[in-house]
Amino acid sequence: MKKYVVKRLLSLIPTIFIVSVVIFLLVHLTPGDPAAAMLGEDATAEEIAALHTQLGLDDPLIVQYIRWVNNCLHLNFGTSTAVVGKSVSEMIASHFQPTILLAIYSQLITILIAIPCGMIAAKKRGSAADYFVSVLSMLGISLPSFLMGLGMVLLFAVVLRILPAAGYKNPFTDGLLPFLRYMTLPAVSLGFIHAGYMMRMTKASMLEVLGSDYIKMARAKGVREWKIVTKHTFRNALLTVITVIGQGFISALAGAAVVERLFNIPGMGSLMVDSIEKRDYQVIQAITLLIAMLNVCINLIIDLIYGLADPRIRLD
Amino acid sequence: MKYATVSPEDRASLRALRKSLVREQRRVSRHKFFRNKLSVVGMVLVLLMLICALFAPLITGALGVDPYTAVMQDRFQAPSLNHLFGTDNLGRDIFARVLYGAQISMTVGFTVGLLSALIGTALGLYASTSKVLDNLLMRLCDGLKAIPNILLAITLMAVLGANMKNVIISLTVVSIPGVARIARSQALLAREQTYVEAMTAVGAGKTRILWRHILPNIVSPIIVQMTFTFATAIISEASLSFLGAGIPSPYPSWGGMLNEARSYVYMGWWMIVFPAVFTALSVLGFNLFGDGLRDLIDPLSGR
Repeated sequence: MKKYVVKRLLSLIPTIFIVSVVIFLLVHLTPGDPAAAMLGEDATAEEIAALHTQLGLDDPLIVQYIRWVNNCLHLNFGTSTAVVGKSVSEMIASHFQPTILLAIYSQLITILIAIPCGMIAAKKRGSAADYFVSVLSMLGISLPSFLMGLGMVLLFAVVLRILPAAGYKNPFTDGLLPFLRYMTLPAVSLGFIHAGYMMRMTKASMLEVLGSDYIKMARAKGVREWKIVTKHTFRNALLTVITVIGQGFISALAGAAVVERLFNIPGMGSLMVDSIEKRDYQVIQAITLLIAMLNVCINLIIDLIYGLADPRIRLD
Repeated sequence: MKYATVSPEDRASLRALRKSLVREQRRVSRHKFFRNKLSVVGMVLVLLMLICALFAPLITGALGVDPYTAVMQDRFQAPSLNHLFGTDNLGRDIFARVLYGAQISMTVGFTVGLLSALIGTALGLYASTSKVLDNLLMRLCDGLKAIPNILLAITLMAVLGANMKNVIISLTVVSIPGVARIARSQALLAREQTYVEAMTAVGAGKTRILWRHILPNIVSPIIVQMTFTFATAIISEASLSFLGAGIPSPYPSWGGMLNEARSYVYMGWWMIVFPAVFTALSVLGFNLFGDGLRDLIDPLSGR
């Protein structure tokens, strides 16, 4: 196991290196002077020159890259060019909570919908329930989250008038109930896409296990059918499902940009979209880097869980 | 020593035999494809969207509507015979805008699918020729894959600026790693086959083997991937335009229309429903069509 962990940790180095280079270079791809692009058309030459030196754009690219990485390691992502004097880290910190809570809530909903559906579809293969689940998962995969969100706003906020169309309530200061009232529509629209995928994966891995010899053995021993499904099959299918949950968490964080904009939630996604209009590249760069790194960490954790759960994986 | 020669007659009959085999294979595939109801639905939806896109000027011309003309006194009109899908907040005809939107979506989807397939295949093929290149490419793909697609696309759009050309560039960049991976793994498999060994023995050059013999054998999975790229590109373009980072405002992209409609949810459902349904149906169409194609080349997958 120790060898596996070390190997897995070493394999992170090239990935992290490439992610950082790509994200660093993105901003330097701008045709012309990045400082001029950040300040927009009505900036004076002095302002541009000042920002130019502040960003250290005269140094060679490698020096700039090393300085940037060093700053990022100290959680210093620079100062915003749009909001004067505010550091990017502060801006991200104040927008962090809604996004993370939204992602967690949407994952909970996804798991609660997708896993039972996938299990039923695998157990009752070829039945109406199975067919319904296939259609639902195809819809989930094909509906972009903002379409799902707009549809639900029309239905629940405009026609039925039972849930608010947009806004955010902090669960710690405003109470849990208002939070749930405001966040259920965004969470469902964010989770629905992934629920489709999770249903498919749950079904596929359950089917694989259900066909195996030890399930036949359990049946031959006379284990009750529901116990076979929940205890013998699902526990073994769980590994695949854990991977899907990890991926779902990341896709919820990334997809938040669209859903937060739709529901006016003041999270990292909204911050990122606002920053596009304000040409606040450093904010965009920092958020992308942060989520990519979270992604790398989650994948690492999943792989380690795999290694713990399945000794065969450690061998290769 | 002289090689055995093949007479022109033999050659002709061999060619005829091959032709009839290919024809038979195609017939079987067609039968399998059409037996699956869902892939037929997918194909019909795809064709419908293509027709909307191709004939948008003709259809709207015949109805006397235009996607850009704003008539202020006709704002927020519900669907009627004059305006099949109603009018938007500026009094523009939504039916015309949705059809022209199909043109934008199909153009973006098709260009991104084609470009990423071409570049990704070339990268994958060359990666399969050398260990160093392979390692380099795979690490690059891993790195790009670690950045969620939509975020990478948003960042690229923020830096490049919002217009159609840049949407195509960013979505192509985002889609290339997926194609390159498939091309590379398929090419590595094809490389092990005896015919490649035979070609090397006969003295065929590396480039010739790569492009004339390996490429045709990896083309089907890439075409399947292309249909999925097509669907993803439509979603991504709509999402980017919805965020205001895609196709800029006067152009009728579906995502952009939904972005405008977002502020008027209480004024008229038609502003949201029609572009939303068209987006969903075209994505669904390409996904179902792709599933059907994938089942043809790999009957074990999916089910």
